[in-house]
Amino acid sequence: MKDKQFRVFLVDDDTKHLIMLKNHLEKRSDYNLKVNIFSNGENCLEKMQEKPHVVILDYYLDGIKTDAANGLEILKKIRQQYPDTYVIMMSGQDDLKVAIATIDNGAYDYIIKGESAYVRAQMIIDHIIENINTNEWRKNVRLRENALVTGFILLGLLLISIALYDMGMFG
Amino acid sequence: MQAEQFTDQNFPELLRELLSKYYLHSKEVERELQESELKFKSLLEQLTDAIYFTSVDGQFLEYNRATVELLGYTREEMQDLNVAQTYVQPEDRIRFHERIMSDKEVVDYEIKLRKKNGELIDCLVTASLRMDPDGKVQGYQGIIRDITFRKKAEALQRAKDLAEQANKFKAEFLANMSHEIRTPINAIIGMVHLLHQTPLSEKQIEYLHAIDNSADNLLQLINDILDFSKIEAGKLQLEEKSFNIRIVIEQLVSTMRFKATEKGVDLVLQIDENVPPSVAGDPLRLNQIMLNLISNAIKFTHTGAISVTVKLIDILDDRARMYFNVRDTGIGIPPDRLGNIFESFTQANLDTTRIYGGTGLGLAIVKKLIDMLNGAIMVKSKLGEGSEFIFEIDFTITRDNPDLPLMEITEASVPDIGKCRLLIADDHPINQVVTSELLRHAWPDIQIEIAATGKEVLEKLDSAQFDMILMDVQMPEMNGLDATRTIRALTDSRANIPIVAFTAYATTGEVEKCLQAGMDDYISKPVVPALLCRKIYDQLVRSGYDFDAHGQQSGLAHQTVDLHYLNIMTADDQVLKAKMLQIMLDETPGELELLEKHLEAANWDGLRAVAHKMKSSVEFMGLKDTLDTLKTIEISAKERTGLDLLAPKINTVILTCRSALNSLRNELDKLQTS
Repeated sequence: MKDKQFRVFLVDDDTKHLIMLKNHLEKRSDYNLKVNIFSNGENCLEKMQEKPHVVILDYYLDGIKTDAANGLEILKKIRQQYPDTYVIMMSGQDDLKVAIATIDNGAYDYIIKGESAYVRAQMIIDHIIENINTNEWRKNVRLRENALVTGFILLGLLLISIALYDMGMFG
Repeated sequence: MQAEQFTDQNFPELLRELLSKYYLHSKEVERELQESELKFKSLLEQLTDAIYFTSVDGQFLEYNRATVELLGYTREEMQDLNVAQTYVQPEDRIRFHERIMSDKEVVDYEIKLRKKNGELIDCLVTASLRMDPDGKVQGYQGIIRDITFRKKAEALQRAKDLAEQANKFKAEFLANMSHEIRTPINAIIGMVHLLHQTPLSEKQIEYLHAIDNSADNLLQLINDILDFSKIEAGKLQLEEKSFNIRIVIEQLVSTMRFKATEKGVDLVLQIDENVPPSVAGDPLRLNQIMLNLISNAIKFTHTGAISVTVKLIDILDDRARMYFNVRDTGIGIPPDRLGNIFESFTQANLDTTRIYGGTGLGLAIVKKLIDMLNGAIMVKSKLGEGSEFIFEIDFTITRDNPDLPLMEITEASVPDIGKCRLLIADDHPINQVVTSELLRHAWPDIQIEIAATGKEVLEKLDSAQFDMILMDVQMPEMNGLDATRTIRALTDSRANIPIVAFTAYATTGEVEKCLQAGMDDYISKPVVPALLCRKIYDQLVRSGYDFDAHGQQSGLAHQTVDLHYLNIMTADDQVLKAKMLQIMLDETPGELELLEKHLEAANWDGLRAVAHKMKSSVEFMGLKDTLDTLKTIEISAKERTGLDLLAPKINTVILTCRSALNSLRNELDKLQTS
């Protein structure tokens, strides 16, 4: 599984968390992850055309830039423009209620900051990738199945026309 | 009949005529008599009560079918039967005789009779004397009613009542015992906590740990028994309120994760995304079920992982069927024990109890709770490979936003409250000492007064000023509830004093009573020191307690940088650690400046944002008091409350962080030189 690379964007106004989480994900995940970090949502949105598989968004992003958009606004934009991207929200214990509300806005999951947050982030990402892999596998299988069915139908039509031809229906 | 003239000629004719008329008439009378007798006889025959006639010496003369059936003899045998032969006890007959001779009748006389086949039956006899017109006794007549069945039913009912009463006594006894045992355990746990604060040798600490563990186990056991007896006695009430399954399970798992990590076991939680966000049910019981299953899994697993899975099976109308699964890689359960693993007081085998301890009540409680919730549980297990507990429960889906459950309170230190004047009302001398010593240890400047009854509380309130009362509910003379009502009815400022209840029974009913009486909060015994301090602090903040006027210390003195957390998080990766230290050294001074700037400009949103962001640095530095201060700053800036208290708090934060930064620089230098 290590061969395919998966892209993850981290957005947090707290550099320490960005570094720690990036470090954890790149080292501990079962998959080959490439992690990019952003200190605000706007920068992340600019890079979204690179189509990361997963974005982890902190809820409060105005610690450095006071007018920075909060995580919820960024989440809405990402969900609108890149509906295939999985977004995981992150928040402190005190903002739990807000974070849960983001689920209604299309967040895939949320993480409460604290000791086990990094492990949890890694677990969720691994889970997502597993999903992506299975979905792709399913898609491939379905494609193959579809091709097979189409083939059979064409073959059937051919046989019928040959039969009809033999019976002199066409002349 | 018209009289006719008698003549010699017609007399014989008339006589003949008359005679024949009379003859015909008497024939008719006779027939009517026979009919009537037949009617009575058939009526008697049909009666289910035995009716009989006997001679004076007790020979059966006449009897209906019920008598024959009752005694079990044939009609022929009955003709030679004497009443005396059917009596089980000859005295009964003598007494019967005496009574009937004196009163001429006997009503509902209870006797035992013996049937032909030897079977004994209980009967009620009502009988009277049969006399001829001259008043001479000819015999007896009477009714016998078989009451064997009724007697048996009565005996059964009595036995059932007794058993039910015994069961009720048992449940009440257990409930009372558990309560009585909790009080001394409270004292033990409190004293051990105090002992921990004194200088101790390593051996002594080890022994104390053992005592502490045992007391904790004992408490757990008592709680289990209490729960179990409540369920058995049908006293356990299920709540029905909106809650979020995801939050309940996540919080539980995050509190258990510590225990699992300690044992080196992974605890993995997976909750399906289509689990409904809001359902109606009893979150407390769900929590209890999961807690029992997960702690069992942790207990019996030495290596590997425990996985907890929650899924939605299907939704029918507004009912969601949920699937819960707790799987471990533990020691497993032998196949022959799988069948009765849910029975009370059983464990996988006897050795289990010896090695792992426990009451064997956990799974019985789980089973009973799931039954009460109309769910089903099953278990799969392979010896040596692990066990899997699967259960399903239906919940009603609701639309409203469920309240968040109470956050777990960690052992974080609480800010100083200075010379707070506290009144403790408790009639138990050991509890008085334990509580006041605990509080004195947390807040050395605290001023504590003790009252042993509700009356004393009122007297003390008259003679001195207090900032807060801790009130036991059960006290002699006047209980805590009445005392609270009296205080709340006062007309001066004392009526608003914060009151926190001590409750021994942490049941919802008890808590409601406290809150209804006007108390502000409650804490259940045994008291968890950190929780008690937190509650006192919260109530003081809520009541507008003036911290500065009570000589609150800056908190600077006993705070030191503790990089333990950072070391754990960086997993001793020196490069990463250095990087983190550098970031903190670079960022923190700017953040401190921002704090000051926003405060001056009264920019509360900015203040909130900076305080929020600084929490992580302060947490990495291990400054727990400062972390708490930042949290209160963040909250009051967000809610625009207590803004006048912000300035001294921010000052404290700035001073503490500046001195902490020096320590960080030293640490970084050390890292870089090594």
